[in-house]
Amino acid sequence: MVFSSAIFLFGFLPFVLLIYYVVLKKKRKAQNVFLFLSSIIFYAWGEPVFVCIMLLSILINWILGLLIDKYRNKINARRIVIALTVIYNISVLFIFKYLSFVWKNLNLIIKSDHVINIALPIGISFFTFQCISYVIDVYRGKGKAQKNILNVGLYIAFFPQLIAGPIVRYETIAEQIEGRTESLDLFSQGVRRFVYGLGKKVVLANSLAIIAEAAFDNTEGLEASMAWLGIIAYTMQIFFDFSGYSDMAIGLGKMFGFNFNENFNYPYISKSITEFWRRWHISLGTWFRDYVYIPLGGNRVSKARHIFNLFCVWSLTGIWHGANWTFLLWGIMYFVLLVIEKEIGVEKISKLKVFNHIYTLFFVMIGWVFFNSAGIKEALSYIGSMFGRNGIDINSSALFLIKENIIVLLLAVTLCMPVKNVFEKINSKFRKIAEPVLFIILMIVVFSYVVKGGYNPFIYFNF
Amino acid sequence: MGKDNKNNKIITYAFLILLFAVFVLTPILNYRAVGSELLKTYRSLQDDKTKDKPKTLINGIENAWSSNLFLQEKYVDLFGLTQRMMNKSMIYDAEKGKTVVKGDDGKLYFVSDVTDISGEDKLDNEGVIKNAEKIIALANVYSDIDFVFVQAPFKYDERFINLPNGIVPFRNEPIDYFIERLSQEERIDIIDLRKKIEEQNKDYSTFFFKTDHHWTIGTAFWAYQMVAEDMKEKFGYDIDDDYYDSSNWETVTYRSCFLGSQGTRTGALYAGKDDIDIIYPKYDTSFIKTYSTKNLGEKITRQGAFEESVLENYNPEKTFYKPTYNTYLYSDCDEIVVENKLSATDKKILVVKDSFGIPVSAFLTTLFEETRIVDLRYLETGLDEYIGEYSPDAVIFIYNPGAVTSAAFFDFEGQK
Repeated sequence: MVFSSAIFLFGFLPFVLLIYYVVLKKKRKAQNVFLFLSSIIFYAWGEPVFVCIMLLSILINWILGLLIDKYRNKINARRIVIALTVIYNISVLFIFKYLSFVWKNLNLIIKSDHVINIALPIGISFFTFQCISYVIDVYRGKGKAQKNILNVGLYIAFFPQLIAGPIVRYETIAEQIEGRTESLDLFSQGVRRFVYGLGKKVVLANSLAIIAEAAFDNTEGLEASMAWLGIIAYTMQIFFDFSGYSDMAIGLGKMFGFNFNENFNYPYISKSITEFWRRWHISLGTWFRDYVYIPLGGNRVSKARHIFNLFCVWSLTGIWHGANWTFLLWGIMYFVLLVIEKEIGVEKISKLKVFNHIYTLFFVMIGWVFFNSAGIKEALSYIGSMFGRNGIDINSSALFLIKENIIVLLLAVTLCMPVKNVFEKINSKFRKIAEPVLFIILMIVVFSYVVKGGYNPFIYFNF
Repeated sequence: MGKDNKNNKIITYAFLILLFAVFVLTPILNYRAVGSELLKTYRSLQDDKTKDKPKTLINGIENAWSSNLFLQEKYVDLFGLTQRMMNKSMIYDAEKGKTVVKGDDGKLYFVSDVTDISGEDKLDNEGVIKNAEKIIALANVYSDIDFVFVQAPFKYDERFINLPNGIVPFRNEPIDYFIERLSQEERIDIIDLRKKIEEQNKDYSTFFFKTDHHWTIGTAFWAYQMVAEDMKEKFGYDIDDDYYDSSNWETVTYRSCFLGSQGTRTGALYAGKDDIDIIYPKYDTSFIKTYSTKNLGEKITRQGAFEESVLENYNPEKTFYKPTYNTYLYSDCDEIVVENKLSATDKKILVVKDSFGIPVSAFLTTLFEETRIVDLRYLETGLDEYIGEYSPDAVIFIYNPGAVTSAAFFDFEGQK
């Protein structure tokens, strides 16, 4: 089920709110069980078969968490359990996400034509990382092992963040599972975040997707103007799509009393790649930092080892996004850029802030070309088109798409910047009166996009 | 702080009201439509022999809910208004082939050049020629029956209409191949209305609805007149001119009340609504019409004058009455049988049609003793077998170009 569907907005969500706040009012245990069961239905709606994989992961990681707790004072036993945790979870991820890819590439080496086709369960990368987070956080003493499997189930499967994140760390919400407090203020914040996120998705990302697809679907003979328009549109699409989803997840969490960490912080205003990754998909970056980079030794090792650690993290970050050489190359591109920035010092790149900004956005966009291409060949062909391989004439389709989407494009560019802060500086009396009126208008318009349905691909469901 | 709290309350209540209004009132006010969709899903589950029943069930429930929401039309209208304010000429749709574009004539068009009207992939020229050959083969089997093929024009015609960004959703070329192959068989009388438009120098811009892919009722009436004259001339049918003379028909125009297939995708505030004419004979008529409803399979019989029987639920006395394209006969279904109790001839005809044929068939009922109207997308019996059993005097195919490029309208084996 997707947040931007009518069945979610006008069916599932009001039903869950009704039962949660009216029927199960102030019955925390029952509320948690109900939220877990609702989350299973939410997931099964899109994956009626693969829900079993998720349930199995919940069961096994719950047992592993209990074992960690049981052997709290036996270091070797705990280490074995941690090893089992990593082996089990990575194996699940490998089988469903990478086996077909590895097999396909092995076939090229051994010259076989045997094919393995395994469907990718939605959101497996997200819930698997949360499973690992649960057991490791229990191991590190950052959260207690849950005796009740339903609580582990709720942490892993809670529908707001289940399918496309943010990757919620167990330590973040361990206390909230039973000790959270709902309030009108928090609920209202949740409503705002949810509606803004939904608007980013259905009004901006979906319109930008049409422009991006027009360029990426027809790479043969693609002219520079269309290629640049396509990648600019995709750059904004992926931001509004993914950050919109995160906003909706955070908003829905608040409606039920949960506080998740932020996942985006205006990444496109960054003046270096280092800064970009502090602002983009924060939950993934910090997950890799805390569960891979630091355990490998982080930067408190020799220079060569440090570079190796960075290489591991960025290769994994790339491949986490999908089983394709394009994602690996995308990750390695960031590894190279980050090593260069670390070596020469970010501030030394240029004293001109504008240049730094352009440099960052340029490489981010080049990265997105790899990210959104079917293969490396296609990506290189697209980059070639950007630099005039097929001519630099102004393409009539590009002009049409700009004219057709001019308001969306202007709005998107504006909202990539922290204009919210500017709005907050406006005369507070006027703002306080205008805000609810404007918000309600926006909400009704956004809902009209949902009812209309339209074009609705969520990019991060593939990961 | 107080103001913040008040705003929080306003925003929260507005959100909950919008959600719960639809959640509660959809099943109460639209229970028939939701129930009907769910029934359809239940039936398709029984027929479904694949292992994907859970997905079929989930899609069925989601579709039943999402297509029948309380305030749905109002929301889509608002969506259309926002698109209009943003000066958008294309309204994208999740359903393949249903993206709508606004032409320079202000009318709406489906964009797709790759799907036919039933959503399947369009046939190429070779496939279209095979369709023609199927009709020829049928005509040769039944050499004592007159065969007529009526080629309706399409709303989009590259000769008359410009769409933005060079969009060309339909070309006449495959239809020309089809007609050319069909015309090689003399047994088949071809009425190519595209040519008649040119010959009679008709104003193409008035031929179609603004918000619907069909021709207007007035155009369908003109097509009826063309068919009547042709059958009289080519086959010598004893048809009195008075029956199809415009002066003997009443036209009632309902202003800005019809939102067609394309308009429902964009909302009424995007391109406005259409006027719709209801045309019925001034002379005395008496008919019995029988058909089975699509969803429930219930047998329905209507009896009386043209406007009471051939027209479906025509009720001009009702407050805010709004006719639609399907006020004629009934919507697309397997078979409709209309007996004309005051017929001047003893002829029986079989009309094989797509949705363009609905109003034309309704008008044709005035000329013959019995008219049977079948749609091959739904007919269980094969057409060959059906003709053999029925033995009509004439078989009239009425297809728009979209149907000609589709395999579904030439499946003469039946839907068993």
